[in-house]
Amino acid sequence: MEILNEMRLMFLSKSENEGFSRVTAAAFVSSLDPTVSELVEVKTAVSEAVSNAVIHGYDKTVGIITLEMRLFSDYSVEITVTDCGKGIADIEKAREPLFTTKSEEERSGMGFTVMESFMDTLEVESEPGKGTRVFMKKRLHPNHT
Amino acid sequence: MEILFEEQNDTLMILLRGELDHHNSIAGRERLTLRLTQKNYRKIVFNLEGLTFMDSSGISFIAHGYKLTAPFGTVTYVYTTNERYLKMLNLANMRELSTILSHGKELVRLWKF
Ligand SMILES: Nc1ncnc2c1ncn2[C@@H]1O[C@H](COP(=O)(O)OP(=O)(O)OP(=O)(O)O)[C@@H](O)[C@H]1O
Ligand SMILES: [Mg+2]
Repeated sequence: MEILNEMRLMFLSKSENEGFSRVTAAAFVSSLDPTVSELVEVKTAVSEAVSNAVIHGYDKTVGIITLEMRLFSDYSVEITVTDCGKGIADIEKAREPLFTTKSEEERSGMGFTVMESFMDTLEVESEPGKGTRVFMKKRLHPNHT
Repeated sequence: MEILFEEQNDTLMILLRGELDHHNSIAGRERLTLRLTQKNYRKIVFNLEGLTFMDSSGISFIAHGYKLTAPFGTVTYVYTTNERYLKMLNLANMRELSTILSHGKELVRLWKF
């Protein structure tokens, strides 16, 4: 399996970059000719991961978020979102549907569940005080195959 | 995101337009709170048909409307024909808080009732 294309995008943890990063991700993946649903699923998953870095990782502080993507010849896409924010103490708990540490700000606790259901693979690595890395993979079934 | 309100009898239709993410929902949430705390409605309907994007922030947006009004007996409805939004609503057990409508006919019936 060959890497067809690769990119890395670094941006500040400002909430307006949630839209910027998912639109960029969609533009980058579009060279694999994904279906409309696949494109929206990738966009949604990126939006969830980046929003988490903004809301939880950096909370009200400003830091750098990195979005990396790789496109493969078997029509799969790998996406990594990394922050150097506060990290997650209990990853297993965090991934449970409806679990949130920000219920006072009325988050729903559905971000990881949405990433999991829209992508094929979701891996979360985190260390309290160091940051969080979310890795996702999806195999596309392009329009022309 | 744009938020428009339409009122008929004691039903409030909340029309959402554009992109609903964490960033875009902040201002809309304030407008929603203001509207829902001014008057009691028998039904509120979140109409998602005008959205071009929604992530899990949509779930908390709807849950916010529910939490503000349910103590006063208001029933929450959500109308969408988008498969991915329906999937997200189901994953979040939104059927426990609201009635989910996914056909235009259901919406019309509700509106005329
Ligand atoms: N990048 C991150 N840094 C620190 N904590 C995180 C990060 N991502 C997720 N978390 C933790 O995991 C929990 C669950 O995340 P998830 O995205 O599933 O729900 P949420 O963000 O709380 O709500 P929603 O995504 O529905 O708005 C968060 O409440 C937070 O405690
Ligand atoms: Mg989240």
